[in-house]
Amino acid sequence: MAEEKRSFENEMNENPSLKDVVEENRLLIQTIETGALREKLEHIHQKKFGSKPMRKSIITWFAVAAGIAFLIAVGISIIELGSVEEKIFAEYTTTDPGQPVPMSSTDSDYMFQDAMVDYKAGKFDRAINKWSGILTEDPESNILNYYIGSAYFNLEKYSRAVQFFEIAANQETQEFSAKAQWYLILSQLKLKDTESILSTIPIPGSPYSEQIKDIQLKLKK
Amino acid sequence: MKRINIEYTEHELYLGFIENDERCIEHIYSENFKSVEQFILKNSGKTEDAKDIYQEAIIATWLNIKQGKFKVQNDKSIGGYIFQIAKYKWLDKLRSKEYRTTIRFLHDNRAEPEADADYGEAEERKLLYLKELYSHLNEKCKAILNRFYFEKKSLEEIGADLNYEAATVKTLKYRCMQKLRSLHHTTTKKNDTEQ
Repeated sequence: MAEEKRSFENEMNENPSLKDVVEENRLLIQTIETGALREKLEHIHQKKFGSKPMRKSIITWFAVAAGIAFLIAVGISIIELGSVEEKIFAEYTTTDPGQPVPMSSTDSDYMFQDAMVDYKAGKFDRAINKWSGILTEDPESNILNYYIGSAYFNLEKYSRAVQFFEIAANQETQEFSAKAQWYLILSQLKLKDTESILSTIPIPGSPYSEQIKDIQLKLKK
Repeated sequence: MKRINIEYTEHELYLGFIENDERCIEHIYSENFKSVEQFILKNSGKTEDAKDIYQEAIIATWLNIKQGKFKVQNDKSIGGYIFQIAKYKWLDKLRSKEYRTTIRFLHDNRAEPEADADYGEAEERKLLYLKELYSHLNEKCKAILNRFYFEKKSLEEIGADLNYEAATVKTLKYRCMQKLRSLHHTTTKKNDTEQ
């Protein structure tokens, strides 16, 4: 890619009319992007800092508060009536916020970090696409399988998440295998796969061992 | 379901900003508006001034990042850079002929605003020109071109948004770009003639 870019730049330097065309296209695209950005910023400003007439906002506030109170009441009754697995899931679930993206990265892990930025921005589908591309080169990769599983978990696609967590949980690197096992359990709760959960043996030294045993006890009751 | 708590590093914001990521842009906007607003209010400005200057400063920052004139490294931050540009723009406006005729202040002992190495009169003129050019596009062209170039959507996605076939979007996009190109040529020719 860098080679192609250099070759194109050389061609531009030798061909002034090509250079003019490229510059013109660049300017036109900047026109569109800055215009779109301006509109986006106005929209953000109205959303974050925009003011409404006092009277209308009080009425709106009360309506929203009443709505929230209603939803809480409904939510509580749903939780009371929910399955054991749902209740345990609600009690234990957290999500992995992802790794910090370093300032500089080598070419080889650029794709990984690029997808991590998507993951942290909540663009889980994009992160999955990018990581899946790298996974073909290292299908047993503990960290890739773990994070692809996490992305599916965040998308609430638990059946898909399970497939990746199972691979990551069977690898030797303890940090990700223990985490993968934990999220595998959470996914299986959502899928009501009690049998798999009960037959799980916590990975030695896993920081989630006690929680896994608690969950197993609760499911047996 | 509890979602991830988004906290960005400077580098992540930088990458997101370059890719027109909505969440990054929103984060940058929210985090830095108040400091710019405070500066402008303390220096004879109103809230509306602060909003306008702030938004233009973000656009200028975006353009400089895209052109490689600003990079997040050492102790530089995007927020700090936006503030610098906003400060320059506001102080420049205060000294402008147009502003002074509204008799905002009688004695102006303020120093000339210093252009940053990456931002000054030339950049201001360019941004004004891009804004002017964009304003001539109709809403349909803006809808298509914004989605394609800013939001990076595919022709199919744009078609789904706007209820067109992908092939139609392709044709409309081409025509809109030709229109923009023609406007640019006309303006450039006009400026050359006037000079």
